[in-house]
Amino acid sequence: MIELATDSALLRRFVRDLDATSPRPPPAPPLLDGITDEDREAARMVWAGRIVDEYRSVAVFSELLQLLTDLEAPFAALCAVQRLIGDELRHTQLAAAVVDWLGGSADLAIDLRDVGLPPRGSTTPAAIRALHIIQRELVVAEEESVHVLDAYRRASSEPAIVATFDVLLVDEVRHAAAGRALLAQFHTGHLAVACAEALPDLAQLAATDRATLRETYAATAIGGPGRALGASIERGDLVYPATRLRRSCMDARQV
Amino acid sequence: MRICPSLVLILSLAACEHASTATSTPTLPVEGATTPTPLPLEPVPALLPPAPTPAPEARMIAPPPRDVKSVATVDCSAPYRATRAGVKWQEGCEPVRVTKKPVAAQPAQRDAAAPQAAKP
Repeated sequence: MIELATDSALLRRFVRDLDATSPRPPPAPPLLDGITDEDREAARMVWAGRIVDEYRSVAVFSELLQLLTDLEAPFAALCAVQRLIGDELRHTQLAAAVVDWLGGSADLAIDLRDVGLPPRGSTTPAAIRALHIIQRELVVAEEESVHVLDAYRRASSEPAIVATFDVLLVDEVRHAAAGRALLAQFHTGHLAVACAEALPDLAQLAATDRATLRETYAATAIGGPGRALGASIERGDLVYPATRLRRSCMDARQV
Repeated sequence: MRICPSLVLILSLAACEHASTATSTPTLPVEGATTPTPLPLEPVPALLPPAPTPAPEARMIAPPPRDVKSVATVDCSAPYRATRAGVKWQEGCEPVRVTKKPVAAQPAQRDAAAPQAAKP
């Protein structure tokens, strides 16, 4: 498990710098009046899982930054990815804060070691690995997560949890948009040349990944405890018109 | 020409975000200040070009129309909910990364569980 506290004043300044990039101030802790132990405990475990999810994104996007620097990708692309890494670190902190609200993690073992992608291997060129990370983890996974996070947000009724989802949702929308912009970088210049053999397969890869993700999300939208605390949705929560999703994302931005 | 609904959504959300951040400066509390101080955050630049039509490469990767209802029916008896699924990079199962630590037995419990010594 990652240690959030530090006794270094200098390092704390970097944490504050990172906090300052949040689209909204951190939510205040919830009161949890009327929340049953069953709901709280279910939500605590789910949010502990979200610590892993967010931290995994830190690892994946860090690999992407390494690849892009090796490939001499445009400066703006590097800036975008380093911001994504920061956002995911901030999300890790947010998820850990929610776990603390719900009882803490002292009795949990949260394994964050080697949480990134499987090794690239010697047969996959750096450009193709970077292309696949952008396509799969940013364009597809982040786009799909926008829909799912919004479903959890709408299902939640505890204001602090809703506010937490607001932060995640605003950032995820931007990550998905960044993915599209980064992908465009691989269709011109030396990056396009370096991954020419992989470009024709992207559409099928995206379709397969989307189908897998949606199947997983649908299969796990089974209700259960913790709905008010962002830990449970039902199948019907995933069916949502895009126009209302857009309205919902705009609401998330309102302070 | 067919424009993918998901791409339109992302484009509109990105444009909306740009408009939103361009018209208001986020405020966050600053240590020692009695009122929130506007941070000098730059408006987020448009992350996608405001082109009216998607680029050819964007059309190429356009996802299928979003319709969650079309997802195949699956067994809903899965014991764990995945709140954030990931794409599959390799075959096999992901390790379980969140577990409850074994509860250490309290001294009283240990005493109760320990076999009683035979009394002389």
